[in-house]
Parts: sequence; C-alpha cells; structure tokens
Amino acid sequence: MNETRDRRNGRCLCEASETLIFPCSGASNVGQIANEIALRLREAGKGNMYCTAGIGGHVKGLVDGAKSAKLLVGIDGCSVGCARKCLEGEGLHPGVYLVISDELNVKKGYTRPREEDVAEAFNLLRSRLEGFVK
Amino acid sequence: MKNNDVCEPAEILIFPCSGGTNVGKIANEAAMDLTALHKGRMHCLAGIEGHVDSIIESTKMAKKLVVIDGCHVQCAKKTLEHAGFGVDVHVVVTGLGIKKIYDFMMDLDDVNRVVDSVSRQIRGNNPRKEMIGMG
Repeated sequence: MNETRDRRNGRCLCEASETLIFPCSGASNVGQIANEIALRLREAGKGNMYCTAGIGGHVKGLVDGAKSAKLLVGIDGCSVGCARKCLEGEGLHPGVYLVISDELNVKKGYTRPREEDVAEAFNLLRSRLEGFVK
Repeated sequence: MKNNDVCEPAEILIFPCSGGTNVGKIANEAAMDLTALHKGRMHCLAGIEGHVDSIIESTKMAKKLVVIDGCHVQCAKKTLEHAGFGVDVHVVVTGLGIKKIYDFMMDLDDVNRVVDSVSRQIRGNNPRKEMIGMG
C-alpha cells in the first residue's frame, strides 16, 4: 500500500512521461548541481528525473521509456557533456539542454554544490523549460 | 585532464547510479560521503555512459572499481560492464533492506548503512585490475 501511495499518479518514475530529465550527476560540484536541479524540477512538477545510467547501461525498458517521451531535458555539469553523449549513444537528443559550468558563473571544483548556485541553475532551467513548453 | 580533476585516476573509484528514485539518490549521497571520508573517489558514471575517452582511461588505471546501484536493475554495473570493466565491489541499496519508493525521501541512516557496507567490502576486497572480456 505504501509503495502504491508513494507513486506519483500511480506510475513509476522510470515510466515514460511527457518530459524526462537526465542529469549527468557527476562527481564535481557542477555534476551535483545537475543532479540536485533534476530532483527539484521533478518536485516542481516540471518532469520526471530519469535514470541516466539506464541509458548508459542500455537497459531496454529504460531506453524504450526515454524514446517514447515527448521531451528530453539534458543537464550536464561541464562541457565534457557526458549526459548528452550518453543520450546520443542511443540516438536520443535533448530538446532542452543546460551546461552548468558554461552558462552560469560557477567554476567546476570538487566540493559540495553551493545552495545559491543550485537555486540559480534551477531558475535558469525552469525558465528555459517553461519557454520551450510554451 | 587538469590538475585536481576528479577525472584523474585514483586508487579506488566509486560509481553511483544516481538514478531517479529514493534509492538512486541514496547511492549518489553515499558516494559523496565515501569520497569525503577518503574511502575512494566518486567518478563520473555518465562519462562511461557517454564513452568519454579521458574518463574511460582514468577508470582503466584505477585499482578498484566500486559500484553503488540503487535497485536490482543495476544500471551502473551494466554501464561499466558494457564498457568492458569488471566491478570489484558492488552494493545494491535495496539489497540492504532499504525499500525503493517512487519519491525522493531519504533517511540519513540509510545513507550511512550504504557507506558502512561499501567501506567493509572495500577493506575485504583484493585489488584486481583486469577488464572483463579482454583477456
């Protein structure tokens, strides 16, 4: 019962939905900002945070779910663009894309992300997403 | 890679799945904590997923590869294996009795349980440096 109650709209987060969010969730501050804003966008009802690793691991159910989504959102911490490359490896392309270190004044480092940077990144991507969706 | 880059090779590299459920979040958090505790260094799994050369190369140079998957789908382990890497320590969060729910509620005690399990297994595991399927 609890598990059922915890599902949003009766669906697993890994199921296909209108908008799926793929953070790189990398090891640096910017990778973790990507991870955190994916969580927050989902909490804000802007889409479902997806398992990027399911694409990289070529897990069929997850790849199929991603292919049936209406919009893919890619979030990379740095210009290496790992999440984007991961998606492209399966022929998927983010309709909305953000590179934290390129578009915000955040230097890549190996510390925990700062809340103000997370908030700024979240606001930027949320605006971009709202503009895209209309 | 540049100096002090996490993409540099390290003795023990930790790859969490960081997936889109509570257990993926716990995996990610545990990897960060293990890095802070100097048990190893969290690495960018997405770099393996994206076949990024520098990250593949630094992974090849590690002495131990540690994977933390949130659930039995084991996406992180599959990602590494797809790239030809064997995994030395593999912890599945749900395998520790932590229930996968479709939300992001996270109990710090659960994160600590994962950290403890990984730490124990790192200590008890002998280093291995071979790639599967490559001799």
